[in-house]
Amino acid sequence: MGNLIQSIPVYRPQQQQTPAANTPIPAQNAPLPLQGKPFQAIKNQFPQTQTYSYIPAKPLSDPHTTPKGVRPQPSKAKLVHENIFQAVGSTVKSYGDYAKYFYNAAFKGEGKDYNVGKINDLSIRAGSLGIAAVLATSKMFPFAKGMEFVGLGTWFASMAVWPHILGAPIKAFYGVDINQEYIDSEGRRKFVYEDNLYRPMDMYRYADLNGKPLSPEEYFKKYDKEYVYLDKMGDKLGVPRDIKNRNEAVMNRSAQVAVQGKTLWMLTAGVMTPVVSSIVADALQTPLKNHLEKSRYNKAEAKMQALDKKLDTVLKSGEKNVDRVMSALDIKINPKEQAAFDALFTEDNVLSPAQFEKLQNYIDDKFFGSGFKTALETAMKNGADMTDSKIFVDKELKDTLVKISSDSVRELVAKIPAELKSKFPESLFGYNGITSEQMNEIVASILATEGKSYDEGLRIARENTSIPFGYNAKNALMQSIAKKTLEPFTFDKIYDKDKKAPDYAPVNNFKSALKNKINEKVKAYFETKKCYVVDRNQMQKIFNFAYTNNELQNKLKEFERTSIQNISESMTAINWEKVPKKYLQTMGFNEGEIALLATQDATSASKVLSKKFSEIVNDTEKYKKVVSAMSEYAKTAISKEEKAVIQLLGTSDKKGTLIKVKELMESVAQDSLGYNVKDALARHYKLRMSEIHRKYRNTIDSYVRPIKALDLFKNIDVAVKNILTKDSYGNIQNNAADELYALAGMSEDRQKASLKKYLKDIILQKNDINSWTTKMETELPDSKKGLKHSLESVKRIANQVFAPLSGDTAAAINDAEFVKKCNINNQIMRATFLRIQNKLLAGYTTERNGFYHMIEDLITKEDDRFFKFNMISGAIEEKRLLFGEDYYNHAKNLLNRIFYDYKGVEITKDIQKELDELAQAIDFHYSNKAIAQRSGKNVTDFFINAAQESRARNKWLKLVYGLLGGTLALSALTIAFMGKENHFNKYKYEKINSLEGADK
Amino acid sequence: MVTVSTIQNNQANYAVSSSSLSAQAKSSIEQSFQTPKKKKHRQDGDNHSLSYYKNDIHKDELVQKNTLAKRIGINIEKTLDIPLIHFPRGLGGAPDYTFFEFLQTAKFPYYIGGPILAALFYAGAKKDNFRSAGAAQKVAKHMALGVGLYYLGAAVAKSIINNTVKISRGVDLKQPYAHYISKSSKKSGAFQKDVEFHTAFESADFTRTDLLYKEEGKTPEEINERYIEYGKKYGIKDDANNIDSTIKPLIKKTIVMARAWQYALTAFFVTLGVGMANQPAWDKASSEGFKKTVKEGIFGKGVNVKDRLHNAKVVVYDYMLKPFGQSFAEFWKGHGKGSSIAGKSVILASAAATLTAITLLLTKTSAKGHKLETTGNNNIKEVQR
Repeated sequence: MGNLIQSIPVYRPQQQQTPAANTPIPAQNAPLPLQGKPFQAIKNQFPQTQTYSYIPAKPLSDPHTTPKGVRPQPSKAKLVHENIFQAVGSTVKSYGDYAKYFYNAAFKGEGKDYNVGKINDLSIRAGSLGIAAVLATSKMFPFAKGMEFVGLGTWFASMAVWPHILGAPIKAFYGVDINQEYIDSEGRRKFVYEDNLYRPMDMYRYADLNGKPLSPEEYFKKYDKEYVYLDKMGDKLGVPRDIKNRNEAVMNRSAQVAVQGKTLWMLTAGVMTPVVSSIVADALQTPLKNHLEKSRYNKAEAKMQALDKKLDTVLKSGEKNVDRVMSALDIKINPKEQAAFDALFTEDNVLSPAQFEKLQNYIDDKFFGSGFKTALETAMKNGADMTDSKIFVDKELKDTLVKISSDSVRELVAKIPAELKSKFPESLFGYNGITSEQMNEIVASILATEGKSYDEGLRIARENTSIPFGYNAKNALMQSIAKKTLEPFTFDKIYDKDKKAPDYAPVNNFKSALKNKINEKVKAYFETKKCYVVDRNQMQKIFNFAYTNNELQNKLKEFERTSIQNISESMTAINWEKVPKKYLQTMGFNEGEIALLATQDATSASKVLSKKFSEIVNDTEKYKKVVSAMSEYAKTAISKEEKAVIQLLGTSDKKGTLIKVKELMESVAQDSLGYNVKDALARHYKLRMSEIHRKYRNTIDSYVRPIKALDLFKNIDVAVKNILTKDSYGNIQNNAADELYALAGMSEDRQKASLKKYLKDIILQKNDINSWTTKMETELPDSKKGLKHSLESVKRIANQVFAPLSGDTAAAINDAEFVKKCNINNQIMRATFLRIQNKLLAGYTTERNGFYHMIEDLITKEDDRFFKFNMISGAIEEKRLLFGEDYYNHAKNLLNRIFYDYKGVEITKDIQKELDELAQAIDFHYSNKAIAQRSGKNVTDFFINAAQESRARNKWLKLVYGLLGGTLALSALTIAFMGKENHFNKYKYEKINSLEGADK
Repeated sequence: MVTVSTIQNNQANYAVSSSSLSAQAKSSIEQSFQTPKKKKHRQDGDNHSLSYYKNDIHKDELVQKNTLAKRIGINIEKTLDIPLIHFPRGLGGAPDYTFFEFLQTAKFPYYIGGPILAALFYAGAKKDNFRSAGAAQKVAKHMALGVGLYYLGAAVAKSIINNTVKISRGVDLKQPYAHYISKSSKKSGAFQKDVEFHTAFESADFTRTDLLYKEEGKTPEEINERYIEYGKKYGIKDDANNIDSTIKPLIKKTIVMARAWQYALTAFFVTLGVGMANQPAWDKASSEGFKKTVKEGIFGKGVNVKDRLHNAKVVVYDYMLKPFGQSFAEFWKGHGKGSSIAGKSVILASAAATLTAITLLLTKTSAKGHKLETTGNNNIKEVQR
């Protein structure tokens, strides 16, 4: 405890307990022994105060403990001098202490303000951790989850770090460490400058020049006077050296700086904590994301490979039994699901139609995807027998039959026209059919034919005892109900000569009509009572199969989710976050252009793009640089996805996991569920394969298209020339300008100019043929015939827009493999674009047919042979990546043979076989998809998205760094003014020996 | 020992080793040796308005009738003091700057940090197309709600404890008192205040039990009126002369326990609040609709009173209470396995902690659980039965 405070003469009750305080005062020398006396005795002792009931209080402590001459115990307080690791250690340790404080305070009510205050620190951290945990569980993906904790960590880190950042320059300039801590006599950690009015100077007595507390012995080995640290601090603070009580003056001046520093801290912490926290968290995002992407994919891949191995073993063994396949693949049915399945059966495995349908639906749900229902129904009915109705004498049966009787009568009576009513017995109107008692009688008489006495039957019926009817009961019931219903009436035959009755026949012969009606209803009722007797084992087999299929699909889907699917945090999604922004950077858009791209519509955006692209192609060096950089980014993005696709679909050498699953499931299905399910499965898996394939194609196209666009911009003149004269293959000799109706009648210059603009537009904008057509129309508004009237136009334009990359571009990319990939993509797009034009390709309605007929046409028809050849080649190329070189060579050979060797020959059986084979090899099932879905993102959208991302980020960076800079500047300014004389602080010092004149 | 402490004695009853309240101690010590300059004001002190405490007092006084209006007034006063007095004095390095003032300035980062963080998140979101703008707005809304419900959660935690203590022990932890700062101790002139508002029970070490005596009382019963009331609630039947010193340690214990639980419950309730703010229930009510209803439906021109009332009901029920209730249910239910467990455990843990806190406060602070012995030295030792 500081001397300063200790020197204040105050009344200090119970701080020091002198022995006298506890010694009872002897009675004989006590004129005022107030202690222990009853109230009345005290009153008597002070007769002058008798009139008051109020008695002056005794001072809180005994008069013997007057503080005169009492010295306080020496302070044990010590400055804290720690390096960073020690500081971290003691922080961690202190949380343990805080927990103890909490226990003592919360459960025992023990503690002081200090302890309770520390509980708050603990609780804030615990609460924040809770919040992060709750928010993390609400997030779907590991990165988002992780970021909650990163955010929490950076928040507390910046909260802890900021006072140290502020403190460093303050300490450097003024020698005052606003974060200086000490441990007080009771072992509690406190800040030296925590309370401005408490200035523990004493602690600096033996602190060395670095502020390290030493023992007096050690200290005096080094220095010859006390308070060297304060001396140094005073010099920095500018406290004159030759004044009286300089240490106190320094302590006071340092307190001023500390108050200023801590107030600045509080003023800025509210801004700096979130700002620094955001900046740090933002910086941590990329490494966290990269790490998670890698580890997630590797984990998923490892799982896939493990599955792959098991599949190999099973496939090799040729195992087709579901149960054994399941155990080989380590698939176990979840007991909950098995229980739910078991609950669908009755004890005797006899199911009502409704129950049977429920069972079907339950199993059907296990295969997701449609198209299984019919196949499954067939498979399940093979394992179930539809039996005759089982009828029990029970209340439901009786009530239903009574209702049938009354309903039938009512319905028929309603049909009798008013003028004919007189011809029917009056009691018929209002008649309600048979009664329950009559029903009981019917039941009794039927039971009588089954060997029971009539009375016993009647009792059974009345008591609703549920016993089964015999085999003939159905017919007997039908007959007797009709009979009983009609019993009370006799009908004459009615002849309605004018045939006024709307439903003449029933009125004509009411009796037989009623009989028919009742029979019809009873039959329908019994129909619903028919049952399925199911083969439990067969059903279990089907269920097991469905379950296995489901499990395998889930495993495949899980892999897809981390890799090729464009969902949060998948490999694809991360690529889409990163790569477009890099393209944007590479192309060197300035801020204004980015703002335009981000905020304007697609047309305006494509103008900005068009300008930029032209700018780049005009500068050869820049062009090379941009193309080479872009291709690098594209390569990484594509290769990641390619790896995942190969894992799923495989290559010609090695089947992918999805293909293996398909084969296994198909063979098992055929064995235990029949062809129907097998075919449904085959369709389903094929669809998934083509989905994956399409996804992959999309990715390549999206990233490659901007490169192709640059290439087209660079070679636009060549492209225009090719369109206007010959196509790139040089086969069509006639004047193209005549074929391109839209351009007809224009001057050559205008044709060129219009086409140039048009080509640039369509490579940058929407990938859809309608867009091409519309653009053509806006570009050439006078023409009555447009693009859609000329297959030749589409062909020529597509051939140029998706021409192979030019030599310049290929040289800039400098990677033959990747150039090949780009060109294949272009070739496929070219073919795709043409194929989608169903209107133009009349007759080729679906693709398979289209290809088959197209292949056939190569033999039989003369026209457009090269065009068709190119399209088929494109289709083969499209599969080449997937199925490898063997497939490619085989298909290409077939095509070449058909194209060159069989031209004009008669189609024999052998040739037919080859045609089939080729058509099968191409085998596209997904022709009716819009082209926008088949191709990747269009160039404009690609850059718009990137611009929006980057603009949001730029704005954010400006804001955050603006706040950071502003606050830092404000802090620096404030720090510069610290420790100076001001409104609150006037420095007046008394010089040492001022009378004698210390200066002399 | 039977003593009836006088107010004077109690005012001197300050140790200067205080880390947090030494300014008060100092000033009250000074005061205690000064003769009052004016005649006593508190003849019927129960109905003084806030301005009385701000202008007319010359020593520390308990604010009588602790009403909501007075507390709001005090809080406005205290809040305005932060930028107008405490920050300027702190930045100037006033020699008599107190720890209380530092704590007041510490509220500034506490209240602006959260909103700024939320605002920074929103600033970083992509807003240039409709879809992402919508998504960004949704996130921002949840964050803003999270910040709001965080502070609400903290307030609820405090109020649970305050009310428990007030009802069970009669001790109003929020009881404000006006701290008079003597002119003679004002060294730094401008920005200094005459009066600071504190709460009587804010410190367990230096509780202002001295202010709890009825100064103008004639008999011990009158002087110790408040202590006798506490005594009833604490379950102490003691001599009117004695009761104050019997109760003081119990009050101290109550304060420590209550504060510890306030902090602990805060951790639970802020988690609950943020968890609830993150639920989809809040998406249904649009913030635009809310603003419009308030601006045009309640405060707009030419709306009749019936419609205004109806709109007010809509605002309170449809925009606040209903989503509040739904979000609680959604938080309990969760959207997946993890969030379901998290929601349930946060809710159950909050409930359990609240119950524990109330139970402990009710049982452990009661005198019924203790045998109290008075020893010499005015020191009451607690003996477990």
